Amino acid sequence: MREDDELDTLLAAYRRHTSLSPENEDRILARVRDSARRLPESAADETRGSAPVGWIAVGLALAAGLALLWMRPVTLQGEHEPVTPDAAARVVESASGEHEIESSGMRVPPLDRTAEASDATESSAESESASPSSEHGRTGARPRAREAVRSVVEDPPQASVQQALAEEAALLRRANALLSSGDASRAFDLLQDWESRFAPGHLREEHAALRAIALCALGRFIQGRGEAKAFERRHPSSAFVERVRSACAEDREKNATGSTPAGQ
Amino acid sequence: MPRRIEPQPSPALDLEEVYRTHAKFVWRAAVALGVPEPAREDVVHDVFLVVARRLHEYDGRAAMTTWLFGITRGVARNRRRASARHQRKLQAVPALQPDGVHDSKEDPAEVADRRRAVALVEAFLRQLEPGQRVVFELMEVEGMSAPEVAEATRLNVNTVYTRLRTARAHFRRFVERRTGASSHA
Repeated sequence: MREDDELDTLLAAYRRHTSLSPENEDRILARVRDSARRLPESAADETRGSAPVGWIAVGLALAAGLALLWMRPVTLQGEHEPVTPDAAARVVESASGEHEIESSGMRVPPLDRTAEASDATESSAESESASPSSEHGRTGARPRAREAVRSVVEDPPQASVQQALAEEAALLRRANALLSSGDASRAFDLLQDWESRFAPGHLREEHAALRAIALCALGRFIQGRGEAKAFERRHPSSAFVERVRSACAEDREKNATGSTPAGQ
Repeated sequence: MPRRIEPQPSPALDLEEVYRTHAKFVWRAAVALGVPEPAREDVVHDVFLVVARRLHEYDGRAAMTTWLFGITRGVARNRRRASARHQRKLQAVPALQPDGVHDSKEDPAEVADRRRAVALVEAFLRQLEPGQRVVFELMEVEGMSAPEVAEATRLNVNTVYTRLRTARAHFRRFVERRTGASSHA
């Protein structure tokens, strides 16, 4: 039937477009081999099912902890902190990723970095002069974060947000393209430009990834690996994790040409 | 024809062997589960890293594809969450993705036709119910049989056939509407 032929043709095009090519298949296998070699030995020990004594000790400790919990109620926020918007803001601060918080019964979107950034630039003087929190004895960083949380409920001007985001993305795209073409030095310069113009910015994750990649590409492996590890800790599910790992792998250091970064 | 016997797990069942046998299936499963194109390589890599850590746990009672599909689904779910957070930030601008590979030797008209075909199928798959999408992709695109899909996805074979029939009928209507609409434009 003509109709079925048409459907088959469409599916054939889709199949061809979405199939795993031999080149991709080999590339992924190479990455898997490389990553599997670097699996920690503790994972291997775990897979062998050894050290039952250790697991018994862990089990006993957990049981003791649970027994204590039954005896002494605790709040999620800590013993002396009521659940208030300020307390919720502290939860947000202490989290490394994005979180949705509820303040005064109102659902707010994940902490808007625009609000945080605008607060950081427009009210930095105010924040720096803010007295330390009496509850924790910390510096003005906490009052600034609380301001940022409160300002989330007020919509920032969307046009300026989009404009800033577009500029950030354009700069990081250029840096990305330079890295891909092998010009790590100019890429690094652009990333520093991003820091002076946009930090903390919307695209911090992307910037952090590209910066770690650029450092390793420039042969600055000690610093690059440090930033790569920090990136993985903060963004374990990031789409950039494998690229960052690959850029700073040990065999890359062996093959490095030792190019001198600009401005170093 | 001799009955195919699923090999018993042994130390000799190594990662590379599993990869060579099943990489295409894992890739197609990732596509069927809605993993966007830029993330597919990473998902397949992550799946086989889990395999590297846990191959000793595979006892052969379920088919290898069943086990792999379960791992792929979990990895894809985590990726979707990360991707959603990432895309929320880039709603106004294109994401930082590498450009697609363009084969400059192909006839531009053929390339355009193929792109239209791919876009049409992708638009259809995006609005399919996820359970139907997995069955439709694994059978119609990857060419797996209903029993194979049932085994991989832990579905009843009849359920697989029902979902495929529904998805096929839906695909036919979808294409008729789209191509009929474009011819009247």
